[in-house]
Amino acid sequence: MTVSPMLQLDQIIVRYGAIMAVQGVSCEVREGEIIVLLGANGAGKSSLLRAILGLTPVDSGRVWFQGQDVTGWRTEALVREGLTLTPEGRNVFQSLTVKENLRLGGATMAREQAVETLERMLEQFPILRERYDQLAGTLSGGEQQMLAIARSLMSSPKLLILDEPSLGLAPVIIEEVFSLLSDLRDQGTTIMLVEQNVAQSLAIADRAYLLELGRIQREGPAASFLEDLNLHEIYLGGEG
Amino acid sequence: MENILQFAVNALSLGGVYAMLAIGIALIYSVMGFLNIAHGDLLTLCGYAMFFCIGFGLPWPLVIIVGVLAAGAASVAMEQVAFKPLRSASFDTLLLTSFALSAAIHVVLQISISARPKPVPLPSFLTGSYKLGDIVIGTGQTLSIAVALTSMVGLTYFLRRTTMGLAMQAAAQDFDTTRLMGIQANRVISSAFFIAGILAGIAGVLIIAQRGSVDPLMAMNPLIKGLIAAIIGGTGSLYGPVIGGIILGVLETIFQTVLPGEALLFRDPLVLSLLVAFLLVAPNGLTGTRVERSR
Ligand SMILES: Nc1ncnc2c1ncn2[C@@H]1O[C@H](COP(=O)(O)OP(=O)(O)O)[C@@H](O)[C@H]1O
Ligand SMILES: [Mg+2]
Repeated sequence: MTVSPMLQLDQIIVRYGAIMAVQGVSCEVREGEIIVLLGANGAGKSSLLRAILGLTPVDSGRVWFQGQDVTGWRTEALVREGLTLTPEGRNVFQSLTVKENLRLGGATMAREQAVETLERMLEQFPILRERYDQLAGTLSGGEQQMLAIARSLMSSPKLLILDEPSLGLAPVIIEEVFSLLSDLRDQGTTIMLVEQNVAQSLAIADRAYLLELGRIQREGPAASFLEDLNLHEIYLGGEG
Repeated sequence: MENILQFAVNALSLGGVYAMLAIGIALIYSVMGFLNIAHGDLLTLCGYAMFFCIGFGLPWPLVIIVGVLAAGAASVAMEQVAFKPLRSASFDTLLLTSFALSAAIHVVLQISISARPKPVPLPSFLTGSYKLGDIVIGTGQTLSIAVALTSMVGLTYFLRRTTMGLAMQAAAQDFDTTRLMGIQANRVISSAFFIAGILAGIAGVLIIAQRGSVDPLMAMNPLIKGLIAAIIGGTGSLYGPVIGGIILGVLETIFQTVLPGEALLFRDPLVLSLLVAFLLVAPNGLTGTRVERSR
């Protein structure tokens, strides 16, 4: 059986004026897998993700999603096609309640489907049920990250992209986030993960890419990355 | 005692009108990140729409509805024509563009219609008065308070209960993430301009009912009052501009009452000086301004 890639990037270049943040990146995400994109601060990871989602213009190159050329599509349209991003940092809508955040996450869904998905999310994230009517800004960092992920899942994405979901979280919570992602994959969601947390992300990933100064320096099965025990120090400067 | 009631009615009716303008200004500011100087001209356009409707002999409820809707439509059109091509421009560029747009509207109205006031006679019950015990209260003022209250209740409902309302608040915090919800940026922005325009139109009807005429430059004073109310109150929430509007209404009514006739000229400069003094103490307004913008 051949599996056509869910997402395929072909020679993506992203520029900010004279700075070329992403310098011709090609990679692919196949259905049902978790891929992780590793790279130090400033490597161009966020720029690449924002370009995929149409939040930052692609300077050149092509983005294919489910066999369709979606380069230059508007963000809203991509989300409706089943592609979504949980952006970097604490990006929940602080002055809205948990309930309202989730409602916006399901804004593109038909009513019955949104209600059904919401119920599933509250099963999967019991803490959100407890905090349901609380303002999102009053949640802890870990709870906010859970909310951000649940909110992304409200649109029942086929491909979920996450930008450093473990950033700034306590080790126990990071553990929880990673085990959640691996559960989600088992439930059928394809995941593209950007991380600086090398060991833990490689442990749940199927394949990995290493981005350095806007270019892919290495790619392969996550296991082969794990074998290189010094990778962390060599490529990410011993941080994270 | 009756003085206090009279005072309250005067202050609240004035404050309510300012608040409606301020909410519109604050809404655009929080979603788009700039102060729209042409916002005041929506009142004027509402006035001319009513002037023409009266000319066509439309019944007055229709005149008012068309006037308010015209302001809403003009607000959306402003965005489409002038601001949309500049979506990613800086605060300064957009601010200057709105200045230019306002000036252009003035000139077009002066040339195509007239620089002189045109009469807009609204029904007498809007400008009449009634007695409550010993005091005389203006119907227009009572109506202003009622209409302002109703608009604010309606707006609160919209912002808290509808998906578009929530999306608007979300967009004010983080526009990119709002788009990641699959919500169309263009629709959120158009809705914000439409609502701001409708509120300006309602304020316009109330103001024009009091003065009985419309002219190209009439919006200058209300615009400044709306800006002040938004700035004093802060644009971070709906309550900021409302509080700002009421404070302004109270101050103006106080000065109106206590200043001797020949000093009334100084009412506005005094209010403005107080604003400057206030901003020295609280530069973000009473309820704060959202500064953590994504662009
Ligand atoms: N909006 C921007 N304007 C200009 N330069 C930017 C912008 N965003 C990112 N950059 C630059 O692009 C490079 C890559 O940044 P980013 O994509 O955020 O990397 P990462 O997510 O891997 O840390 C950095 O040099 C950064 O300074
Ligand atoms: Mg980043």
